[in-house]
Amino acid sequence: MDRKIGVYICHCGLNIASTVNVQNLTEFAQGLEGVVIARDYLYMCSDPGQALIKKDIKEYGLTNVVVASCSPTMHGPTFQKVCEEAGLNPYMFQMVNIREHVSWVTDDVEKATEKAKLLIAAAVNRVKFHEPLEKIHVPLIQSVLIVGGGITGIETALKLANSGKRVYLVEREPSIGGRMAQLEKTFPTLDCASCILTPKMVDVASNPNITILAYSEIKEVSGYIGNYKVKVVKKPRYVDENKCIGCGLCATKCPSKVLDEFNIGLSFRKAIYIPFPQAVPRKYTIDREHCFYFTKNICRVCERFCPTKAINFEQKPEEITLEVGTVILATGYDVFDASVIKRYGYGRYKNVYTGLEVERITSASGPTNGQIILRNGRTPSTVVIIHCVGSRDENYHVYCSRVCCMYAMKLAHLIKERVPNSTIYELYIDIRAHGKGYEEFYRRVQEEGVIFIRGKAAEITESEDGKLTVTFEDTLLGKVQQIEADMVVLATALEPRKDAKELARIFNIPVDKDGFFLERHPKLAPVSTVNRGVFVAGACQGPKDIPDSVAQGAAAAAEALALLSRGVVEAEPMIAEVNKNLCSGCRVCISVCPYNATVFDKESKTASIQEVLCQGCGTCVASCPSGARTLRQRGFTDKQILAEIEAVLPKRFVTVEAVITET
Amino acid sequence: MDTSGKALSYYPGCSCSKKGIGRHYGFSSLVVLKALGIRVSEIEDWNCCGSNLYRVVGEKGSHLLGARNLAKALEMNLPEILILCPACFLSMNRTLTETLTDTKIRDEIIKKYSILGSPASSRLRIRHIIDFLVNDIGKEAIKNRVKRRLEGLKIAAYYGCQITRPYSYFDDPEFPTSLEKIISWIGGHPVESPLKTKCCGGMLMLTNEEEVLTVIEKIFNSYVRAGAECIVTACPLCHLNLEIARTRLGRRISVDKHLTIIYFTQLVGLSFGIGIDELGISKNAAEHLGKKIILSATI
Amino acid sequence: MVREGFIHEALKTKTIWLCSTCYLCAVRCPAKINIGEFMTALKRSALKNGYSNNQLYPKLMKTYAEYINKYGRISEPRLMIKFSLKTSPFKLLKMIPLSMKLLREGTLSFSHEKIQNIEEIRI
Repeated sequence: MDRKIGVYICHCGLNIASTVNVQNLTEFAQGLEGVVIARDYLYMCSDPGQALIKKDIKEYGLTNVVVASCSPTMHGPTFQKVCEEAGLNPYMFQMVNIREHVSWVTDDVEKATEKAKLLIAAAVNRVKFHEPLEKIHVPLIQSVLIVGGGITGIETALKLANSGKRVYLVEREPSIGGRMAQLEKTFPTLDCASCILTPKMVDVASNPNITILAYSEIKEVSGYIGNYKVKVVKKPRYVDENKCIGCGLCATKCPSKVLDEFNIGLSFRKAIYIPFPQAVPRKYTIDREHCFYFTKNICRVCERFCPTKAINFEQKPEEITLEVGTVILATGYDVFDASVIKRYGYGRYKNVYTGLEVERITSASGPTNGQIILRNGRTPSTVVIIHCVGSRDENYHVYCSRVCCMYAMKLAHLIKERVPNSTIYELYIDIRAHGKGYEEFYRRVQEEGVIFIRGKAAEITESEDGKLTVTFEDTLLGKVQQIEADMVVLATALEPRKDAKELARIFNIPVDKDGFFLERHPKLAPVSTVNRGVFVAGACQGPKDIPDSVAQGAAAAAEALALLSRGVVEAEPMIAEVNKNLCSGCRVCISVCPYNATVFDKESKTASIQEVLCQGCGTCVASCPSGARTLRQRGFTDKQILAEIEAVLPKRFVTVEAVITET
Repeated sequence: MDTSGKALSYYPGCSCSKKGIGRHYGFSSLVVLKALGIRVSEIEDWNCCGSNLYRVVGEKGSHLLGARNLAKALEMNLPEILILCPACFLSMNRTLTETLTDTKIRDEIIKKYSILGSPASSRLRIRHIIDFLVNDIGKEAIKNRVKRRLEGLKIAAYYGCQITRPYSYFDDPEFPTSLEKIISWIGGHPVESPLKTKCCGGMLMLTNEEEVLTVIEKIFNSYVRAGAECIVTACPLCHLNLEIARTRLGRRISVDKHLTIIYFTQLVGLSFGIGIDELGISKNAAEHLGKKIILSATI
Repeated sequence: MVREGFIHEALKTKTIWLCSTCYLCAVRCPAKINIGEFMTALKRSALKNGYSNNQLYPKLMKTYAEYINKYGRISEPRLMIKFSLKTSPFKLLKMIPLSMKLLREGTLSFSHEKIQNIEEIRI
């Protein structure tokens, strides 16, 4: 085919022109074989610059355009668009970097110009072998899967549903609400957590665009962006959700008592239960492992008394397949197990508690109805709260859990409120009160009489009467001290969920060094992942408070909307391509593909590229034993690459014809 | 674990050697191991490990001390080395891990003891006797050898600081439970003091006596509070320090002067039915342990 | 102190000589700093620069080192006697009840063993 190539050399002001002799370069380019017009201009990317190119394409009937200017990551798409607007396929274009690679790395004008000449010659040679390529368009299913029904998942669901998208909210526990449902008050406003959460839970339940799949887990995911097939397993409640009215009669009759995990084992619930009074959906669940019928084959009292005959012991797990366009993970966090720090005595000494346990104690619907009563039945008069338990510690978690300073202060406030005569100490290393109103809250708690001492607690020992001796160094005074306390509260770290890694594997996203879901970029893309169709939000991405979780939830919703509203997803066409006539079906390419984009087509017994998934990394192409004729990459064919090389090497070394064996 | 035919080299260290002040720890350990069918061979011509004192003189010098012992164990083709004294345990482990990985010192050591550069050196293992008894011999083998009942005697273990720190590969660095396991396997009733790994002061007893006695006072008080009728030790220096302190503190502590302090291997030996002479237990101590043990019928 | 340049003040303290290298600090430190090793390094530095703050530890250490270089093994009773003679002979009297006890138990021995090839451990 007869090529008509236009070459455009940018001065980039003085950025290029001061080091590269652009006049010389333009003359050189004009003299290259195939080039019909070569121009230079002050700012190629500007409107007049772009207009120049467009005019030439039309006037000269250019088949290819080469622009020598800055980095392709800077203005590659700009010039591709220019070509497109002038009616030329954008992949008939090649960019040459004579700024970052030439004028910015040397002061020597002669050498710079020489190198620029070689690079342009290479591009001109290459472009002769370019073929028109089309972007791949994949339609997106207009629905979203949200995994995790805590405050983050709830926020995301509401935002998406209110913009008209269909949302599936999958939650592992029998009710949505997550960790926030376990909180009594939230810092710094001391809002009642349930009071601000439950209206949102109800909103979710009543929103026609949201389907809640509670007491369900993700089993398997297949597909690709815009077209995910998710297998969800709905665990059997042994209670018919359509019949249960949540009256609770069954629970009053049930004889089996179980340690209540919602109250962190501080109280009991029944084998048939609702996790907390404001549960959504308000349906009872039978805990199979503790139900007397399942374990001992007796009882079935609940069945006898249920007014709507909702009990169904024959219920089986139900597998549901969802087809969604994008996924948002909002699975939250787990609490650090403080018993591994033996010198704090958690688990050995009765009156050492974690922050979440105390949160439940202060709650009106908690194990002690909101009264501060210890395991030994007494009310504490001296309380010590220890910061950084499991956080900021090379032996456990190196990171700071971000919320503990604040929740420690909140708990101090709550205890002081309920037990006004108590003396409360907080042993800290640094106070992190970073958010809006947080520093003011810190001051307020100090004014309420809580004593802050700078020094990490060294150890806790128990005396005969159950009193706890906390030893520490007051580093501001330089003195080692001891406090006799009735109650010690450990501000424990936040860590990823125990099965976060497994979930990440199912959704094909990486986790960071601490096990939290890895964001695409810590500063600029905190809710995206390297998997374009999967987003993350909330504490599962890293420890954070409720305002930040809500913000991330909204951000993830925006990302999902941005993706879905286009209707189609565009994929770059510079991907691998199989010549089925030559493929021997050896499957080497399948084994090396990091994106699982290559599959084996059983009918034709050859490899097949799933175009949407292919990222164009080139690994399979390099691995194909049959060579580039069988498996090649569009935009990076052997002919194109060798043409570049040939132009750069001195003429005496090689000619293109001798090397290439492609037909 | 099936340990029949297992052989280890034995590094007694200065304290537990035949002429050391902790010789009874050495004797009783060997006798107990023999009863369990384990063969140990003392490293020939071993030298002092240097413990923490020599280390202050110079790093290289202290590593040379340990390296010589390791080389000798390798030459005997018994790369698993049994150690009793915690200071030796620490020192030899330090030489083994740091020396054989740190390149600068490693090169100098290997120049002198080339066998430590051979592939065989990767088989070197330092085994503390507590680790060996709990993890290699195990519950069944020990229980099967018990011939005397300890009649629920309240026995507390005092580990001292260097058995589980900084090399805590066989138990928790602050709250180990290995000795409590052994105590319950031989029929005793283990009681615990929260200060069971608190440092007794070691050599500082000679240089800073007052400070050390203040600490040991707290240690004794915690054992009394825990209700211990007998304290078993695993370190000759701790053992000595406790005895010195008991006398020096006198009335300041409420320790029953009949409270027996013996090495844990002596107690294990007693439960195996081995005689007090072989174990190095004085008649005095034996009487105070409680007539219940000595006179109770053998099982 | 050392980080901010107060090296001499640090080496003059009693603290570094009170460390028994029990490694509790190293095990607990959230920044995984081996403070015990650091104390040993400070001891070394103090001796090199002539600081001993009238502490007895340096003398004990020297006695110990002498025995190792001479015999290759330590006899604790000999060590204690020589050390006491060097520092405060009066203490020897205090040690008599202890010596009696050890004698009774059969753990007192003054014999000194010497290893072969003592040059192997001399630096």
